[in-house]
Amino acid sequence: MSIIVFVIYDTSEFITSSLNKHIDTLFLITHTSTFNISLQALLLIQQISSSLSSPSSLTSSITDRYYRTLYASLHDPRLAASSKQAMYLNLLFKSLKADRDIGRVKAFVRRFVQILVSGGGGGTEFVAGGLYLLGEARASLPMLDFC
Amino acid sequence: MILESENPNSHMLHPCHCGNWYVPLMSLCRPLKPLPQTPLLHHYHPSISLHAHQLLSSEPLTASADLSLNTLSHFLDRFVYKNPKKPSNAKPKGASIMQPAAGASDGTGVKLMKGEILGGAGVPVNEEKFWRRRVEDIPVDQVYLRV
Repeated sequence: MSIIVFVIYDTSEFITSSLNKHIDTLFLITHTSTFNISLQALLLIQQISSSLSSPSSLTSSITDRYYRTLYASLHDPRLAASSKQAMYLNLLFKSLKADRDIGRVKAFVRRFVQILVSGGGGGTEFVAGGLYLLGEARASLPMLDFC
Repeated sequence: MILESENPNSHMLHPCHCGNWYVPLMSLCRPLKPLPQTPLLHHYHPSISLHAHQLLSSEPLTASADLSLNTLSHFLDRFVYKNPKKPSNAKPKGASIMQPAAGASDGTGVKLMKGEILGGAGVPVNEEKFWRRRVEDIPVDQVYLRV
């Protein structure tokens, strides 16, 4: 995984066809490997998409695919037994802060609360951490209204 | 990850297309008809119930970023009056080179580190000093020890 990191950071300023192939590989990893590795891959994709500054259609397609995958990972049954729940929560929070589409952020928050209510994360520490992050999100994203 | 073709509800797994009608978050916590899952306001863990109230009433959250204070093992340790391990000063745990993103680097995320309970010692709960405190002064998740 770390080898891929160095390769991609070299080319992260502009989108080329080779970068597209790397991104496709990363998305393939998120869909086909163990939970911890797909979480690392998601982390990497998030860092890449936040470092791409030019808002082109290619950038937005990467961002859309990333949020689509993240949304699906909320329902993953392996999340309950994972040892990296803190990392997952941090990634979720970072992604919500970085998203420009407020409708999508609202959809994420709504679904996240549903997951917490159903106790889908496993232990109470997941719910407690989730509520803490929602508090932080409310502080840093004032357009979210909880009432 | 679930394949989209196998999942009949695949349109619900996309954050932009899952029905963006406005559903107030309050309705998730106080359902109009009885639902099998427990709403967060009436969660059995007092901290979670407190934070849910704070979120809904727009008060600042008094949660801590340390997830290990809410785990089952921490609760059981306190229940049997066992003193937590002193954090080792020789080598700070938790920072891993291969996984630098495991800890929260910008200080706004949650963290869960094994064996390290920051500020969790506090006042040992089977001492008279703890019994003498008023109920209002005790944090909500230790009230059951006082009673």
